[in-house]
Amino acid sequence: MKLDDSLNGLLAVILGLAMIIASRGMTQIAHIEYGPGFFPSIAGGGLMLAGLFLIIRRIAFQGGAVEGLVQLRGQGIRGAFGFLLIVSVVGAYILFINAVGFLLLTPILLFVLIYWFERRANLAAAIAVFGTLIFHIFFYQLMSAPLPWGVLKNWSGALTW
Amino acid sequence: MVILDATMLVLQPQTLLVMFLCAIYGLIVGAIPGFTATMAVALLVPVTYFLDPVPALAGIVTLAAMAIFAGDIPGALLRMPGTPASAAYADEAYKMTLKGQAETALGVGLVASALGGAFGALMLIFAAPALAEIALSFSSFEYFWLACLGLLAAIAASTGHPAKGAISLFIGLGIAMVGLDPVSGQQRFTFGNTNLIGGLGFIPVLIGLFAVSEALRFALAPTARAEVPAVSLKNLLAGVMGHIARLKWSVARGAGIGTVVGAIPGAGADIAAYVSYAVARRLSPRREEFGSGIVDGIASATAANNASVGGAFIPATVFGIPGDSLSAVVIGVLYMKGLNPGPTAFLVHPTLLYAVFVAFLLANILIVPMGFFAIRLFRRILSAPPGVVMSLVTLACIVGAFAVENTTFAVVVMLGAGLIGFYMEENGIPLAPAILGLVLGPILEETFLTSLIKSKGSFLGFVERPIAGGLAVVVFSIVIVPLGLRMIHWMKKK
Repeated sequence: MKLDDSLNGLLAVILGLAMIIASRGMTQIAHIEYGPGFFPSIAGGGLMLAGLFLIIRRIAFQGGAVEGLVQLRGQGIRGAFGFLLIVSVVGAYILFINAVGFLLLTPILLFVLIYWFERRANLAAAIAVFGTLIFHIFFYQLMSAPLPWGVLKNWSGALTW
Repeated sequence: MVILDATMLVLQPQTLLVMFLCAIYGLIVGAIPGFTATMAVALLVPVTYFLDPVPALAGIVTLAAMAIFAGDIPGALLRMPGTPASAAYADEAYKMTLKGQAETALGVGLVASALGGAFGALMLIFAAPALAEIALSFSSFEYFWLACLGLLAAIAASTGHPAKGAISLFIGLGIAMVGLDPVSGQQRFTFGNTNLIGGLGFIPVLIGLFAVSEALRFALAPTARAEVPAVSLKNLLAGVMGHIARLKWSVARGAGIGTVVGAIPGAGADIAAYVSYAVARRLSPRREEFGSGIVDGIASATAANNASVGGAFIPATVFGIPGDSLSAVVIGVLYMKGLNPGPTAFLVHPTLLYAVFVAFLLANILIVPMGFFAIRLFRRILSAPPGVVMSLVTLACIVGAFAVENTTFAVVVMLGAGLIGFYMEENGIPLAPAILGLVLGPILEETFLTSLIKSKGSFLGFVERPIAGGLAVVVFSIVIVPLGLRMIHWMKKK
């Protein structure tokens, strides 16, 4: 999704302004001239300047112009669904991993992703199961990373080697 | 003696095994068009979190060396550089493939990459400690200017318009400011969320910016599996040494250029290859044939991009100032492992640092045998369905971010950084300045405030010391000279 540089510049200006406003509200410390808000205000100012530069370049020289201000790239609705699917898969992991557990949730998420991209159910199922096991063995068994057990908590002892 | 102890550390079975696995991983990821060496390293960082310092860092430098070389393979066979570092000569190499000379292009590239990389590693081994001795006399004033130099050079050397480089840099600085102020300890941009008090995790942000953003871009427009042309790749090393002997000065010059360009903050392997290719073209007696598919430019440029990795590690280890996004990640890992970069690291942990350098040299020597097999197996590597690869990458991102911090909040941060990275990449805003801003932001802020306290609030203190004054001149020149030149050009046009 490509935006016209006037919009990119505007976004940078708004973000920079927000940083400056937020930095103004930071507590000042007695006898210290450059408090916690000093650097954020410089970064915010820099962001605003760079954004303004993009806007001026766009208006004066037509640099970074995009027809209709927003240009969608990719495979239309299918591409947008694919994008949302990745975001949803990450979101599902965030919401359900502790309750459901790694060994049950991950194969489902992997199957959905692979099936969406490749449209081959058997391949998706096989890689979802084996992929999950490999990730679990590597991160949990070898690297001792605490991946959640979720509903399988009572069987965690039997499933750990 | 230190070198001997360091070599023994590298020769430990665990370190060698990690290096071998990282070499395979680097060759595979580097050979897949669209994946970058930085992305490969970003995905590896969560794994290194659980390893000892030497295997962890040896793995990363091995991966970097292999990925940069492997980017040459699809560049030559598909005209699609595996990593941006190979873009400078992908067209030249592909034209050789069309002429039936793929073996020569890849064989010479393989040996020249190893030579360039080994040169960069040797420079690192000898130049870094010497520079560290000089850097021991540096104070916060010099470090402040070095950090400024790194940030400005990141903008100047970034791809795209400088204003977009600046936006990327300030986004990185903004991310670095979340959490506690390093001097007063006050909360900044935490919005009352306790998860944000410790700041945004470096690893989740890194994975998000470089890997999740790529998965999102793929999801929007999935790429089909690339068809590899039917070319013979059996006699890769036939006649290679003859070409290398003929082009020895060109390769040496490329390695030298690569090391110097790599050491300049902000300029990475891709810029080193472009500069080296341009110089080789200008100085070659066959300059008219450049662009038609000759090996002369490839040898010099591929030596340069591999040498630049070693060059970039020099300021990274000596000053803690990254040469490019890859060395910015290495700095992050050095901090994570308690090997805080800087000249004192050479006094406190000399064996560990030298072990990383020796591992890097070994990795560059290993490019020849391992790269040989990677070229032969390239068809197999590309036969993996892209949708499967990207789904596994997505899962690796999630598990990696989660495993390091053991909290789903890290996955939230990763997703946020991924969406920001996606927006930036789609709109031509380079990612490298953001990661440099993320690493250099706290250094800049700390050195600025410490220097002000030392000079009792006077800005004159920033330029009174000779080296600090010299660095200040360089910093201001980077800003003023291009603006002045542009102004003169504009006035002449009028």
